[in-house]
Amino acid sequence: MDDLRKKLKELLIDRLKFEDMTPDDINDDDPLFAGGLGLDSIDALEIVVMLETEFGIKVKNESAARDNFHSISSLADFVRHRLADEQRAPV
Amino acid sequence: MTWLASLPHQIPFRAASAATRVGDKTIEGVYVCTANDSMPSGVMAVEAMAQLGGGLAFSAASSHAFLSGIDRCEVDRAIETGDVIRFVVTLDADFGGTYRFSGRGLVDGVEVIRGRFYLAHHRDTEDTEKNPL
Repeated sequence: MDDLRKKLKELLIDRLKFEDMTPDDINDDDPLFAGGLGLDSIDALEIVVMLETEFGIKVKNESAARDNFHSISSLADFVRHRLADEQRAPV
Repeated sequence: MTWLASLPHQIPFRAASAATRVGDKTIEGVYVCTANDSMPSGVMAVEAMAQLGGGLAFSAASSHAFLSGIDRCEVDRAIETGDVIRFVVTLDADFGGTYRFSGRGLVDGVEVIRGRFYLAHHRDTEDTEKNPL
């Protein structure tokens, strides 16, 4: 399993308090909202807080969340791109 | 009219009083436990924190929000008639119309209650059900 995807699954399980769930129980492409894991708007806020505290990524734009919070795969891609963008940014 | 006075739930359901904003993300206020309280005092105390959070986030817009979640709430001892709880409520984060606050309450300088809670600003219900983001 991709290390970043596994880490994101572990963080979600911990922060959203999914009891008796392991990273293996979450498929990379399962929808996080609306079916799938069934996350709600409070969980979306917790994901935003998690991205800021764990990766230093600030998400202020709701459309960015709509586009990138579909699944673990899309979330991992989003994190990779944002971290790469920050590394390329001039100091 | 103060923002607290504009709340749809008035006495006996308005738990918070003496709200004072202390910065962009913090508000202080009081809940006085009385024998005539309409709900158990612990519930009133959490409601007071939520009302203060609402005052912090929405008073400038003259709008209101719904208490949508409570997390990690701990009450150290029974809250009794005559207790005056002084609350400090801080806005932790907000996103997409959902706001997360942390609050703690002290009686005579001793912390007796703490918790995290969420307020949801009104959005179209059908739209929110289709897409929580």
